[in-house]
Amino acid sequence: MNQKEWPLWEVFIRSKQGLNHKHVGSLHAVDYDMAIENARDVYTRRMEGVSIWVIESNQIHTSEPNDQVALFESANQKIYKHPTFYNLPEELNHTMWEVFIQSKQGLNHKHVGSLYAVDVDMAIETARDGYTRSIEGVSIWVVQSNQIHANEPDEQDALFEPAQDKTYRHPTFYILPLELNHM
Amino acid sequence: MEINLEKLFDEKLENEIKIEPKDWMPEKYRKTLLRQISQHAHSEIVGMLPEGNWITRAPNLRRKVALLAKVQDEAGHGLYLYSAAETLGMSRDEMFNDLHSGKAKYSSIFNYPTLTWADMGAIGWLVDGAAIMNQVPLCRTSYGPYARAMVRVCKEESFHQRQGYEIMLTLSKGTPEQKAMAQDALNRWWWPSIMMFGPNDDNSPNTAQSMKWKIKRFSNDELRQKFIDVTIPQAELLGLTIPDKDLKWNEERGHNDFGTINWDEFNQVVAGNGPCNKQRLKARVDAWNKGEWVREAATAFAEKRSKRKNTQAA
Ligand SMILES: [Fe+2]
Ligand SMILES: [Fe+2]
Ligand SMILES: [Fe+2]
Repeated sequence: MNQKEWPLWEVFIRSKQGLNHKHVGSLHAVDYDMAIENARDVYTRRMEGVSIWVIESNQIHTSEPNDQVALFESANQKIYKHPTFYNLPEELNHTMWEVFIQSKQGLNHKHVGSLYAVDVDMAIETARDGYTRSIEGVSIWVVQSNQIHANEPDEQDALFEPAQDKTYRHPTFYILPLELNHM
Repeated sequence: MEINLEKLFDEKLENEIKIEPKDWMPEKYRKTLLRQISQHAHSEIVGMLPEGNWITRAPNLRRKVALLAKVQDEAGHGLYLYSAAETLGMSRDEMFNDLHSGKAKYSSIFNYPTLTWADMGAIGWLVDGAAIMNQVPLCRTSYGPYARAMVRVCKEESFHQRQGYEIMLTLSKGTPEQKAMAQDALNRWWWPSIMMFGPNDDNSPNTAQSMKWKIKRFSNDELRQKFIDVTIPQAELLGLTIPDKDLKWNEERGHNDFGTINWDEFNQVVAGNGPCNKQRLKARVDAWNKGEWVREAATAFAEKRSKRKNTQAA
């Protein structure tokens, strides 16, 4: 039964020019084109976005929760902490990763930047050092940069402009007696 | 040093720190949430059917676009919630399967028929109103993905209730026939709406645990009472009468007293014997089965497109 299920995609929305892409949820789609189109309908019905990123969920690597890191850290001394580990061919050192941070449990993961790393573990550790200053409770997602699929810039109007006219999606469109303003 | 995972979990709850998918959690917490979130998702999806019934017969274009947008929002709510439930380890297809086989429940309110246009008003006003009463505290529920989904949902619900109330207002200021139609809709939707909060507290064995886990913040009876108290003046503003002769302000309690709920009816509808249970389930199963070829075609097309992209790249 599950073999037929369409792949799961995580959706990230930039709500305004200049802001970071923020995780909003996930959806199923056959490929990234369909994922972007569906993300438009599911997550931006009220002008919530100017840009969409989708990433296939299984491409995202997550840090262990901090309290559990403390639990496993010593047992699992990370190999890249040894200096000799870095004598590697140039190109291996040059895989680019995107970093998403949840600065507090309960908030959405937000894109904060990118970095170079040779593998997932190194990407997460580098992100932890570079972007979280090892603050408690911060969760990190990393994904190889080429796994991010964005809507084409020239599609922007076609995707997001129609929502602007749909004023009837907003509570203020309905004029009710003053007593009901809280509704 | 040994770290006790259960203690860590309890401390997080204590300190209002959200539980996230990768955190350790008791198995019963996970199961309780999975049941609640998937039922909530199913309710949003099945909830499209009673209103979908009137889209083509909306009295004018303004009403039609609003109703269409509302029903589309409910589809969105279902999708936010399914995606939150998936983080607890159940696949979307399994959830659909449970709905279609009758194993999973959805809110009983959607097993009542929508007989007239006024029902679109009563549903927006009362059913979405009761849903909002339930959902606002869920924005602070202890499980992160559920809380975030509820924040999105709550932002969208206000318009649902207002468009419903606007319909009721227009009808109750209209011809005597229109006003009678609005009253009739209120008569039929009132009791099922206050049943939406679920059984009385002494008949709701899981409530205490859910409140301890901070999944729920208020009990069924507390929410029901709040809903009744805020809705009474809204009915007065419409000049309509709530069909409960025992409604009466109780100075001592600081709340309105109300009549006895017919739990027999509630249990019958939950058990599958409501007026539209079979019809609703059949509509969902048919939609799924008739969509099979679309899902297959989309998969085949995606495969073809990815092959083409690969050969172009080569
Ligand atoms: Fe909804
Ligand atoms: Fe709802
Ligand atoms: Fe709604």
